[in-house]
Amino acid sequence: MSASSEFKRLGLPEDAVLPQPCSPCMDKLNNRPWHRTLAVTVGDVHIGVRGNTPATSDRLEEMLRALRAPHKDDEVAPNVSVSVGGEVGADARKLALVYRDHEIVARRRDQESLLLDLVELLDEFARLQTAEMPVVHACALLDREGSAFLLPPSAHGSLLTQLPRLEARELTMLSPRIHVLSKTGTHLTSRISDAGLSAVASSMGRNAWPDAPIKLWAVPGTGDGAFPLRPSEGLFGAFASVVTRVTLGAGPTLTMLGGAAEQIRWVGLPALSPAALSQAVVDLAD
Amino acid sequence: VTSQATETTAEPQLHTDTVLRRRPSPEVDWVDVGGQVVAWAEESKSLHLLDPIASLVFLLIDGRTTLGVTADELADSFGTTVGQVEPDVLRFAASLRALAIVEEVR
Repeated sequence: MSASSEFKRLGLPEDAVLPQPCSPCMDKLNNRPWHRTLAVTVGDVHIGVRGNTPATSDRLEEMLRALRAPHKDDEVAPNVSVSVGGEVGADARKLALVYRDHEIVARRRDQESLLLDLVELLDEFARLQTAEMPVVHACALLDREGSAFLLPPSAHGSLLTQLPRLEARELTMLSPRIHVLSKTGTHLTSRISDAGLSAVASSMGRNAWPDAPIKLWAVPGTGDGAFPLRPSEGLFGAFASVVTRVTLGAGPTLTMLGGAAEQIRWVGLPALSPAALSQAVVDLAD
Repeated sequence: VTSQATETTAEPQLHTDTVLRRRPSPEVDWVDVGGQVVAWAEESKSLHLLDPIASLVFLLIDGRTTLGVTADELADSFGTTVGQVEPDVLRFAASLRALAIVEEVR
C-alpha cells in the first residue's frame, strides 16, 4: 500500500485527518443528534466515524477497536455517520443508515448487516490508496452466476432503495463504490484491502469475497433507457472511472481496458428514477 | 479528464507531400479496440475517441509515408479513385493534428 494518494491529491501531510466538505446538506445532517466521533485509521488516513446514540458509539468502539486512533478524536470530522434504531418501539422500525458526509451509502433493516456494510465502506479509503492495481469508482452488482455488473457510481444511491426488487432477481449490490479490478481489468476482486478491516470483517463472520468476472459495464449516457455501446465507446466512457489512472499511467490504463473491452458487454445508462433504473438493471441481467 | 470525440470538420491544411507521425508515449497513449482508436493526449489531459475512418488514417500514419501515398493505399483498399479519397485523408489528418495526437515530420 502506498502513502495516502487522497492526501497527496489534497496536498496535505500524511498525518492529517480527512477533511469534510461544508454544505447545507452536511449542516442539516449535523443538526441531528449525534454521539461522539471516533477517529479510526484506514491505511494512512484518519477518518471520523460517529453514531447516533451512546449504544451505537459503544458498538462502533468495540467493533473498530483495532483501528482506533483516540489521540485524533478531537481532530477528525464526522466523515462517516451511522444511524440505527432503538431496541424497542417505533425507533426499532427505523432503517439503519450509513452516511459518507451527507450522502446515504448504506441502508439496511438490521444493524449487523449495516455494520458489515460499514466495514466495506471504510475499506473504500484503503482502496483509494491503492496505486498499482486498477481501481474503479462504480456501483457493482453480482448476478446469480457470480458475474459482476458495473454501473455509474450515481446508481448506488438510487439502487439502495430498490434492494428487495434486485434481490428478487438474484442480483446482489456490493456495499462499496470503490472496487479493485484484476490487472487484466476483466475481474472484480472485492476482498477487503485494509488488514485491520479484514480482521474486523472476519470477526463478524465474513471471510469469503467474490472474484467476479465482469460481464457488463454501464457507463453514463443520455436518453430514456440503456443502449448498447461498442467496446471502444465503452472504454471511452469507462476511462474516467479508473481512479488509479494517474498512478498506473494513461497508457497502461488504456491497454488494460483495451484488453478487457472485447470480453465485456458495454451499455450506456442515462440518469433514471430509482424504479426505472432497477427495472433497466433487471432487464440487462435477463 | 476532459473527454471529447474527434471533430472531423476541420478545414484541410495539409498537403499530399506532408508526412505525419504519431506523437510518442507518454505525450500520447492510445489503444485500438475493434478498429477504433481511443487516444489520451497528456498535454491537454484529454481522451479522444476516433471514428473508424480517422482511426484508419491514424493507424496508417508512420512517420515516413506521405499523406498522398496513404490516400493511394486507401483508394486501392476501397476500390475507389484517389481523387475521392484524398480530400478525406487530408481532412482527417488535419483533425488528428489539431488534437495534437500526431505531428508533422515534414
